[in-house]
Amino acid sequence: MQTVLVILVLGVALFYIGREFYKRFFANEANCDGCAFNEKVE
Amino acid sequence: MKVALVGNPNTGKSSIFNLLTGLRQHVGNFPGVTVDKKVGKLRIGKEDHELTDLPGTYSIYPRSKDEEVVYDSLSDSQSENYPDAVIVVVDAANLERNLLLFSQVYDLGIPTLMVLNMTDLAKKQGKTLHIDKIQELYPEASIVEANARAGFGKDRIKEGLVNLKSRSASKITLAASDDLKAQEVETEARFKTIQKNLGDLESKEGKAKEMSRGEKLLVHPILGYVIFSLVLIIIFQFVYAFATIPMDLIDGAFTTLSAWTSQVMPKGVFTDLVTQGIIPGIGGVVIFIPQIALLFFFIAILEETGYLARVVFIMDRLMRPLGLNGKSVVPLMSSVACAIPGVMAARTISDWKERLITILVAPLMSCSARIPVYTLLIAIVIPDETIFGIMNVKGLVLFGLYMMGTVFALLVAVILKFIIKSKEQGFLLLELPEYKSPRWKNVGITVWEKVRIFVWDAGKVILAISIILWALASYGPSDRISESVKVAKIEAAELNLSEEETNQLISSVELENSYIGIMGKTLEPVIEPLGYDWKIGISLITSFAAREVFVGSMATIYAVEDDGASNKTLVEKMKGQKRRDGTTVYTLAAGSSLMVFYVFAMMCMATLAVVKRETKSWKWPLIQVGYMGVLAYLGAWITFIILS
Amino acid sequence: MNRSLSEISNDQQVQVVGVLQSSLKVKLMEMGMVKGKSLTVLYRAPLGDPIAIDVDGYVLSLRKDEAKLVEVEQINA
Repeated sequence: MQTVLVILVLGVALFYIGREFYKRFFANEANCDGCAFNEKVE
Repeated sequence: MKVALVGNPNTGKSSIFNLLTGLRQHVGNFPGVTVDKKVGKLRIGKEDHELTDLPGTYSIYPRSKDEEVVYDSLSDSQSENYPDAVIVVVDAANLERNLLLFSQVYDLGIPTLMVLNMTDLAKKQGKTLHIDKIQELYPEASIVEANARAGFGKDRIKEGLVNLKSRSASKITLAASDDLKAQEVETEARFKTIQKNLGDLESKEGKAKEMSRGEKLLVHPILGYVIFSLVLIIIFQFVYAFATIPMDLIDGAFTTLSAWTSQVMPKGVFTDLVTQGIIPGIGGVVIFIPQIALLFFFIAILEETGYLARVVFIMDRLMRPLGLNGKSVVPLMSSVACAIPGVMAARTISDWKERLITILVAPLMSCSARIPVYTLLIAIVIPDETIFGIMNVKGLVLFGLYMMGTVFALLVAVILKFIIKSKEQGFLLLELPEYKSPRWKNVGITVWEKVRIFVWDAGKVILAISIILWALASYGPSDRISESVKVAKIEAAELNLSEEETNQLISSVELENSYIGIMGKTLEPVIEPLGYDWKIGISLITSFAAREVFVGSMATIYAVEDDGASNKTLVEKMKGQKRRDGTTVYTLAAGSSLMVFYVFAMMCMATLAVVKRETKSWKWPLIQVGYMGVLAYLGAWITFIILS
Repeated sequence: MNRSLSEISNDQQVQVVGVLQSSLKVKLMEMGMVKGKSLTVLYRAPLGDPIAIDVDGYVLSLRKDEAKLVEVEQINA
């Protein structure tokens, strides 16, 4: 029983970290306030 | 209904927003932003409306990153942010300048409500307001009076929103945001009209402001800096003196909770997860609340009173040779709490080069996530002595670490100034608002927002990492573990160890062969020159997610190692750490080297993510990780060599 | 005679004649630097830069470089 709970919690944690990582680094943001910034840099 | 709130800076716009929404507001998707879009719920009768607080601007045409939100939201009627109605907050004491933005918004053809704020101030300055005449000039707008500072006008604004006049179709199309010529022609024409119409409304007396003695003192060529330094010293003194008390309480409470839980819950792996992973993980988040809350409490007061604008004013000339801007002071100060709001606050800097340099050096300022690392290591390796009779060595070391971060932030800025090329010329156009006493409601809301975002956004990630870390520390390749445990048992029997000592040896061997132990071991050769062992290596790895995880990792590692059985505090456990050859792990040299490493290393995924988004490129966050990593490794190495 | 705002000493009252052509022109206009507006130089930051001026009852600070773009003429008090 305890093992099942651990696996469950661990799964949620891994999923959450993975999703956050994707969201923060790779997802295309439709509403990106910083976007035009880089055009000036190049 | 979607309602947008716009207005010039310093018109009391955020007071109006707070007045209308109270705590029913949240900040965009992004953590730690005040310059970003704030959305709140506005209840009129039984209906909820969505009120968006757009950054303060003087014109619809943007000149810095944060102002672009306004142009983007209002210029495109197909955009999902396009509002159904706009509230324009107008400073009654500065009608002419404020009417520029108002007339631009009005001419877009969106139902518009003008909120004439600070009417008391206008009257005090001897300006009479002719609302009926303003109404004639903008017949399709609704106009209400308010005084947000005194908390009055809420019902009128709501009423005004209900009775908005419908508009005839859009009258103008906006110039492109980079078409300066068209903007110039438009602005000139608008001011002409406004001046002509206002001419008979407002008696224009060119009476210059009398400067009070206090005002002169604050911007005095020498005393201005002295006062600013004093303000900083007082703030940091308060933050440290007051934050340690609740922090110790929180620390103690979570240790007790952990011990208590392990007793009441049935033995098993899930109980271990709760007591060794989840509870310390949550504790590691909660412990930061006092410091973040206090620091932002003070920053909010400085901003509210108008002093922050003076700081920008007197610091600009000093920051410029460093490649920074007077406005960089605010991001750098915020970064002492957390680099994330710091990096975002750099949006107010209109010049991209100055903004970029600010973003790149902001994480060198020691943020509150480093404090637990510093305090833990100082407690372990720095002797509790006093020099010169009054100065505590531990306190001095802490101060020295902060100075090291700040000095290097400025040094790196100078270097970057020569590396990064820019064609544009930086500029500073800043309104210095009147001094006012702070509105405590606004201060309270700022503090609440910062804490809430930290706990919810950063906190969830930190907790998840703690859980994963616990698993990595508790499990390993099973044959490898059982094999080494077998060896350890034989070794223990040979050495005639007591049962307790045997158990300890076994858990330490288990940790060494867990997944995370293997990772730490792999890293060991790289970090050995710095004086670290593989357990510190583990904490360094986990710290790349977020620095504050260091203390949590240490706690988890040593908790796993002794099965959470002993009541020793973490400091005691770490002080007692010995290498296999019997030498102490946390010597002065190794501990100091580790502190220096944390001053410089870019160990915060969340900040990197923000830098990546703010610069819209992988290039800058990678450069940041690179240069900070080199600084960290070299700095730590030199420290270790000097001290050992 | 026209002078640039950066040359005006403290406590002097002047009137805006115009803003020189530059990428900052619109921004300066938005902040009230329009023809005929009267300004008073209030004080300067250490090292004389930036400067703070009174524009119709509000205080604007700008760098010397920006002030150079604003052409003003003396008002005879």
